[in-house]
Amino acid sequence: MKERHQLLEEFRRIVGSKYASDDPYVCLSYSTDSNIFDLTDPASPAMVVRPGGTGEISRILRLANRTRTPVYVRGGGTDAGGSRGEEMCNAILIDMTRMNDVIEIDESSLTVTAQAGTTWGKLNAEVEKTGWRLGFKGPYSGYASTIGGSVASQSNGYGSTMYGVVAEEVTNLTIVLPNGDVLETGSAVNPDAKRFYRFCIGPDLTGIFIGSGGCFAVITEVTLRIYPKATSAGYGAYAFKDYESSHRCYYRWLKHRVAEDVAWYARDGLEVMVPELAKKGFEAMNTFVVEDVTRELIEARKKLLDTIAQEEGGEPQDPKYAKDGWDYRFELLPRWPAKIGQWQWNCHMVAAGDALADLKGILAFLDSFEEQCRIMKIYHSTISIAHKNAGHVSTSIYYDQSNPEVVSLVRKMMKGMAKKAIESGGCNYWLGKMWYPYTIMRNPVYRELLLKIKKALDPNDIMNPGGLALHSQA
Amino acid sequence: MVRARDGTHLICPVREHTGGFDAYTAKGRLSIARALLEHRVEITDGLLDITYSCTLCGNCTEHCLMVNPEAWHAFPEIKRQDHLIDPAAVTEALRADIFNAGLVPSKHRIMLEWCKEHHNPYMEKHKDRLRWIPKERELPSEGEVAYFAGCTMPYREAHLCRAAVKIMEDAEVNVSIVPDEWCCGSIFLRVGATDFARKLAEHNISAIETTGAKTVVTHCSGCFRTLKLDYPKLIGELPFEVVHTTEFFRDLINEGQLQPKTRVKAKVSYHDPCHLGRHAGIYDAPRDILRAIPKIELVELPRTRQNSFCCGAGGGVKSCFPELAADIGTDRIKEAEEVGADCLVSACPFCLINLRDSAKTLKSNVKVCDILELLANPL
Repeated sequence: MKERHQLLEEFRRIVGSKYASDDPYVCLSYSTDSNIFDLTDPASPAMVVRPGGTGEISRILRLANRTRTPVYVRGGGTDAGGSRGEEMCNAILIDMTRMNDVIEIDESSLTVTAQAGTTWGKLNAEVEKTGWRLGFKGPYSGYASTIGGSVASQSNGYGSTMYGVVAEEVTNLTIVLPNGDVLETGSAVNPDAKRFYRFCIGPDLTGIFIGSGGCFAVITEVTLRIYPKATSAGYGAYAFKDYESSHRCYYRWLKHRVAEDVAWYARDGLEVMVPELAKKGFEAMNTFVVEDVTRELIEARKKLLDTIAQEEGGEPQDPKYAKDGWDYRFELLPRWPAKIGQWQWNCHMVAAGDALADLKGILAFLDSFEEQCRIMKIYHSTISIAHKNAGHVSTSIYYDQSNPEVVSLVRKMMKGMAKKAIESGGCNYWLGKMWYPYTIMRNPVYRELLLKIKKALDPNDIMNPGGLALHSQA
Repeated sequence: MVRARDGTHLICPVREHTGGFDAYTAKGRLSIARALLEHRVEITDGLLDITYSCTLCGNCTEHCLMVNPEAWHAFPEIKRQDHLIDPAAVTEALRADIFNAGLVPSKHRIMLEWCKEHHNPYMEKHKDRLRWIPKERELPSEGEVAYFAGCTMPYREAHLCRAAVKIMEDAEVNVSIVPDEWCCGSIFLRVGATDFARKLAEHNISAIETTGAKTVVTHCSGCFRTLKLDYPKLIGELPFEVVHTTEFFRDLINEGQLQPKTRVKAKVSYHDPCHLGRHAGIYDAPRDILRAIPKIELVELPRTRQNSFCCGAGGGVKSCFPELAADIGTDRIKEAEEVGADCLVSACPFCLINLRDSAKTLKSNVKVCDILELLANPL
């Protein structure tokens, strides 16, 4: 106990006394992220620190490394996959949300650099104020989730149809290694260069830290590309009587790469989100959003997508189905549980052309639980968001979290869907406990390499020990 | 970190003026409340700071997309459902549990004990409650319109009581007082002493009934919210209507019975009291009054109406954590400076006191005043 007290005092000297605490209630308030694993098995860290800058994080990690103190880094606490490691109760949790400054919007390099604890809500607003916009605009939890958290967990979200996941928009990172060294990646390796380019000076070291789940280092600053703010937007929504035609439309929309956002609602998604269409007997709905800097460009893109939808038999619907989700981005996600109950997502990627088979497989799997779901009042909603050449298939499960039997069934369904997705040729982009048995643990060569990288960067295994299923003892 | 929907404005005053740990926000308190319900932790005095530092301003509730139907621009068919969680209500419930466990903060306990005997939380004598009435004046104790003064104004800002009555008399309103008025109970509801607050409510309803009032006008936003919204929940339907002074005076202005005057030009910003704005939905009446005053230019603060930032005093924070309250209030003064306001006006004596303290701390040139002062004693 004395050791812990001394450690806390040292952390307080680094960040200021009011920004470090081992108060049990303070620690308790960090005992979960937003996923079924943490919520049903919460674990408080030993202490929490809220650093104000990269220098402070460097000193924190030096101290943690010297004392072999496990470190867990947290952004907005919206991790949906369960990527926490195994030693939370002994860990110092670094709450990054104090580091929320937008450092620079650089028109010369067409980039924005912000501290890692900046929320997507803030970043979008600050960038748009200056006449620019982000390509990848953030995950569905963007009012709470941070850019550093997104990079560490490689999140998908608004704008992914056109720009891909967050990783694809990152040009540079500032990183603190477990030994306290500060690493600049990409063009910023040259101290005289701006942060504008990622793939230079040897292998892509930036990429090693993207999706690393806080197991390798702490990301403290992120540089992302920016684009001229769209002057206007166009929207479309089409309902389909069968999955085959809706998939053909989805695939063709995606192939042309002219939409900012493309979504494909399966039957269960319609029942939850657009019940009026489900009642009319539609099997699916596709929506698109196009944005650009001139009305002519928008009209041309919209015309192309409208034509494709009509060629595939889509019946035009009120474009508000597309517009509302886009205009009020980051508000969509909370509405779903607001309507039904608590929820857990299960998302994976599949090749765009294989999305139909994948979706049908997932729906068939869900159907096998139909009776149990009816009795236990569990609802689900499946939507595929287009992502460049892939379909991001996402099933939300809404359930009563206070009922252990229900929770147990939902966990079983989650695991089953993960297995199903992997078997049908999909892959996870989420991190988390649910996926490890089917991905990292299945591929010894891949896992061995990750372990070697982990040991090279973090020989004392202080960074989120056990995260990514990379425990040093394993 | 929860932000306002435009993504730029922080919404929790306490988070911004403490170490900012999750425990001091709605999100963290919900986690703690859940852990208590699941018996994973117990209530100890370590919970007092965390729970009682919340101003209960309701900004988290306002912006919680799972709670507030107003926030659901796009899908109006989705209605608020019973199983959803109101973070501010959870904090109040948490306080009630803490209070029932006998762990209320000592400052609140002292107030409670005093109020049991003297019917106010200001450590003042009950007999002094009506000292705000000038000696030469006698106000009726019966009539259709009763003025409920509260505690803060009679004991700390007596000139506002006189201003309220003067304005009503100028408009030829026959106003009575409530001679045996007690504390409305707002502070005790906020700190978890629900049973005691109910007793105060029962007394006040009876005291108001003896005046024969059909309409009760009050200026203190805390009293207004408590009488208007909390009393019906505690007691049931009220035998009178509760109206805030700003609604009452706005109507008088619209009917031509009250003609606001002013002598000098001034740029004025309005601070929405949480009890009046977010809790009771009154945003326009005070603004209508300010716009009706000649030579006054109303300039909105960056955070306004539903997104207004708390003055810092509410929820018992001013009495329990006065430095935190004043510190939070400096944000509002800085916002007023930012928009070039000469005067920051509110419609709640509690906001007035705290914002004035904050302006003093900052040595700001922004004058803090109450809307009654502008109406009764033009600048």
